[in-house]
Amino acid sequence: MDCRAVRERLSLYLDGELTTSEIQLIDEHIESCTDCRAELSSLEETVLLVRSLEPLEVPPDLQDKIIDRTMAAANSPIGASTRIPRINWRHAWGRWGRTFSSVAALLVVAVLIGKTVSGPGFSLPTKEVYQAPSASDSADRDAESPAMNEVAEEQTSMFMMKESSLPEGMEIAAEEMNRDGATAPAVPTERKVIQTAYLSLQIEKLDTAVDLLQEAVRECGGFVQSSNMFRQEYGRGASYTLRIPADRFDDVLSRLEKLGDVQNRGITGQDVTEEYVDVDARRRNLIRQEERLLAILDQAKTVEDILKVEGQLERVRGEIESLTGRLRYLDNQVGLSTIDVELQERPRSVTAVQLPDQKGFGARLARAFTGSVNLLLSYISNMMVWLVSAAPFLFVGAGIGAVVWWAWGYFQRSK
Amino acid sequence: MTTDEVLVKLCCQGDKEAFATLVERYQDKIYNLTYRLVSNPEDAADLTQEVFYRAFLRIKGFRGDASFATWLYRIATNVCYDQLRIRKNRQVVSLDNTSPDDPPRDLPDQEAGPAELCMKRIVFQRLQEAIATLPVEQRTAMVLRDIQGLSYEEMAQVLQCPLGTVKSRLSRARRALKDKLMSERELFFSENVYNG
Ligand SMILES: [Zn+2]
Repeated sequence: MDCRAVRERLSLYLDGELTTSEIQLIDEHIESCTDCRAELSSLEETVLLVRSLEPLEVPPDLQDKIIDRTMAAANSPIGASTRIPRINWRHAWGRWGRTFSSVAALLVVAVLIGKTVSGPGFSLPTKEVYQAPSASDSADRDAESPAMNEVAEEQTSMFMMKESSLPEGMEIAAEEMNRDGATAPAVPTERKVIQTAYLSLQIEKLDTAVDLLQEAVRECGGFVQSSNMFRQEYGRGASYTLRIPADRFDDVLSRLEKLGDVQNRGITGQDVTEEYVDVDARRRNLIRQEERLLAILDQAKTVEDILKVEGQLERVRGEIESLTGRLRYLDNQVGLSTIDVELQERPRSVTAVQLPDQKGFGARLARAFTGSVNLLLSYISNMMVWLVSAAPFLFVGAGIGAVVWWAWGYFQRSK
Repeated sequence: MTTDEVLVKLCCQGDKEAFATLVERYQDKIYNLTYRLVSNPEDAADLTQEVFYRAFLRIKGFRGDASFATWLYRIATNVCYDQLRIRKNRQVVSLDNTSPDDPPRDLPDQEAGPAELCMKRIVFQRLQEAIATLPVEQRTAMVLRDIQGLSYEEMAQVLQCPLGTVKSRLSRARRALKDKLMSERELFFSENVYNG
């Protein structure tokens, strides 16, 4: 494992999120590489430092405030700061429950129509998380993505609306509101899906890749939400969080994949259609309530009544603001997909050593040639080894030969 | 101790005490999560209220396929993202609305002397400032993992993104934070890091 690969995995290494063999490879590398060892210890100290941050003491009155606010919304007798005379709404509930079920049924139908209308032209990379909702598969869907549970949320909030109290004598107005609310659901023309992708790429040259990436983002009308660049001795890298118009998501993703070798890739599609429809319906409903309350405020006679209605109005407006924010957020998330891209230059040393993958006759020739060279080299080296290992015998043999030679010459001369 | 799931069920049946118990059980975690994300104790208190308020509205939608904590964290990160977006928009007009005068109200350490306490305070404050400069998605990953102690799978559930994204964001966050802290290495790191 080279330094680059090691450093990429150090965070996971610290968390014990690697396989045994990966851990072993990193251990071995760190044993011999001082730089990576230093990197690991500074990273580890960083993590320990963050983990040592002491928890903030919760303000002593926070719990009361939470309960007050929540229960005030539910108009519970517990902790409700503004006590408003309660009205018996129970008689209205039966009718209300029925209205709600029909709204829910209408929504399912609307959603199904929306699906059919947008059906064939609308493709998503992850089919399994993307199914048309129906009564039968709703349980599976809930299991899949808890976020979609928020349909049921409306039951709660509408329950609260039912319970929310108004000055006496205004029941009729409030009931009218509820009827208006029942006709309000928006019919979506397309599914609302938040798409998120993750892409990790190994590239040749960072500058080129970054240029191409930015070009791709510019051309599709997206933008770079955040970016990091890092330089290390084995090459440079960068990570980007991109926001891409949803209809260009597939395009851009496949374009990005061509920038280099894909190391890792993941896509999720989170269907928020139902939440969207529900939040939208609830918001419309509240806007009607707001109008009604304003009308009631005009008719209010006593100061007490005015204060009560204003209290209600404030609550309704707060809720509208919060729902509008949520819708804007969903619109933003649905309209702009998020792609996390990581770019990492291929380590230089490896590129220099490895021949590019070649095919055909030329490559075979090259392989045959290098093969022959290697064979020759191995002969030569074998011969060298033999020479070295035989050296003592050769020396001794040469010595004996010299003595014999000298003795022979002496014998000849003395004759 | 009554489990979260039982409390949620009771809550759905209109048991106010059950909801209060859930608030008591999680307000600490949610308050700290929001504080680390928005870096302001007052905002954190408001956001914590908002989180529980939204949770209460949606409690019947909780089906128990993720843990209650995961579900609550998801609401909390969404609430914080909303808040940070609003703040970003406001910052166009007013330059910065996180005043540096806000003292971090970390728990005082009983053991440490005044000098050490002061030093520790400075370190923690600088650290929080450094965390606050991370891009929001990296910051969230780091806070969920290293402050709230979530597993990678739980993080993927909270953030509703692929596991690879979680790993990548966390790794990026930690490396970026390390680089930032390195500029004041004497303050943050032990000797073996800044000498060797
Ligand atoms: Zn190394």
